Amino acid sequence: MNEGPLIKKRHPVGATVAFFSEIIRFIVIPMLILYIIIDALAQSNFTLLLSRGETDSIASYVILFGGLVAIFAALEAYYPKGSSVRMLFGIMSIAMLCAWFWFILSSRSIHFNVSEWNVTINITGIVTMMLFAVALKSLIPIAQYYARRDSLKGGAAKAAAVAAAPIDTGVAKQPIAPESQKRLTRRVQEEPPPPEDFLVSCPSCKTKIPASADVCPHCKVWIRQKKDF
Amino acid sequence: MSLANISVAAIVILSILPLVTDQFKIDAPAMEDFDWSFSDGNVTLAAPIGVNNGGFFDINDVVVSVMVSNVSGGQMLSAVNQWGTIPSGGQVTRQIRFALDLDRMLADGFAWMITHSDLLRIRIEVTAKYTLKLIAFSADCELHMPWDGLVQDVGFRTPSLFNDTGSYGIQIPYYLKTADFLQGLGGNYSVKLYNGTGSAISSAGQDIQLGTNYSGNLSLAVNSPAAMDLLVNNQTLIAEITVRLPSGTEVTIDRRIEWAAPMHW
Repeated sequence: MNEGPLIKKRHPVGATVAFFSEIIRFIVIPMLILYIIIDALAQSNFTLLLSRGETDSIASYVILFGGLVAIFAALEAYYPKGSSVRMLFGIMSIAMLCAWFWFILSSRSIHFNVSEWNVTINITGIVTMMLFAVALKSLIPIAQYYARRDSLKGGAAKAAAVAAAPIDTGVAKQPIAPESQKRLTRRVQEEPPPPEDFLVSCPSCKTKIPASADVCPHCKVWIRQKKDF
Repeated sequence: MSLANISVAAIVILSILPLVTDQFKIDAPAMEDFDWSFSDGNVTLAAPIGVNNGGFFDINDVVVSVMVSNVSGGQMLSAVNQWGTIPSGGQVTRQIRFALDLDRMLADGFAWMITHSDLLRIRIEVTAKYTLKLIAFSADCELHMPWDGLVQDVGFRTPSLFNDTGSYGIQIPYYLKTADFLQGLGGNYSVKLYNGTGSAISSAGQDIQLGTNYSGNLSLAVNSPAAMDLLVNNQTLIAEITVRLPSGTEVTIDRRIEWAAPMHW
């Protein structure tokens, strides 16, 4: 697909904002939760059985996948809406987010002690459901891409339809010189004229107007006429 | 899409909230909550265990398992109870009940525990599913229960030789302590006596009351040669004591009696 006009619509500021906001959401805040809250819990009766090695392992997953999420989210934000590159990076960003969730939450069961009970919770089911909800977000860039493609297709089809349609110049009753007719036909085949060309009636009040009129004599609406071609 | 995300977030929060706010609780039985009883050769222990579901979802597929082992880790019992579903906002308290079959204990190598103290390690495990069965939950705890044995103490005081109108006998004062949960049950106490050379010289028995600090006198008739031997020779007698429980289970214990001959010189 021709994405020429979209090249101009890149968003470096948006990409920077997306990068840092994702860094905060998926690295800074989770790391704070991991180290500060777990340390606080360790001093309470609610003991979360998480070894230092496991904590470090989770932290490495947070940094690795959180960083990838931030990079892909920044690239997604950099490219304009509806572009195939934005769709690609959007899907990759969501894929990394799913990996982030999966490796952090479901790779282990949660163990903790409450009074005399050793409690183990397996949250694989609910994590799978969360992944499903997260994966739904990947539909957004895909939908944006297809929406833009359809709009471009629709525009092209409309232009083609205009080109293919017989042109009612409204001046058929008046004889047109053969040379003019030839030039008109060639011009129509090359590029369809804007619809306001060759107006014989006012688009507002539908009153017949002179070919050279700039203003409707009846309702005084301004009319743009193509004078020479 | 947003609706799906909000629904998932709501489910996650509603799942975690009861745990954090202590609305979801399992009350393990304390040691003093256990009720001991004996019937049909089984030592039965029963205790209440409560599950309080103050959460937003039903707790499904609740299974309570009990495993009992002794201090050395020998598995004595494993029992599973299906509790089904505990509705949201409900509290269920049920008795966990498990029976230790004495005959099976004897067959499985736990005969020692009939007459000696030990420690029962009772492991209770509750497994369940929560939040529309999306969360699998397991909680276990181990209770340590002292086991004092069924026949806790048995012995003799100083025996004596008697002559009752021409027939000889030995009078043995004995004492017996059995487990409290045998209170009210009757049993039988019998002794078979061997002299210093290992020959059986007499035996006798009598009915007794179990579950108390029981003491009594047992008279064992002995023939004349054995009586003469006992009259003049110090020796170590072996008493083979058999306590028969109401279920018919017999517990045999050997004791030594240092016999001091009345006419030894």
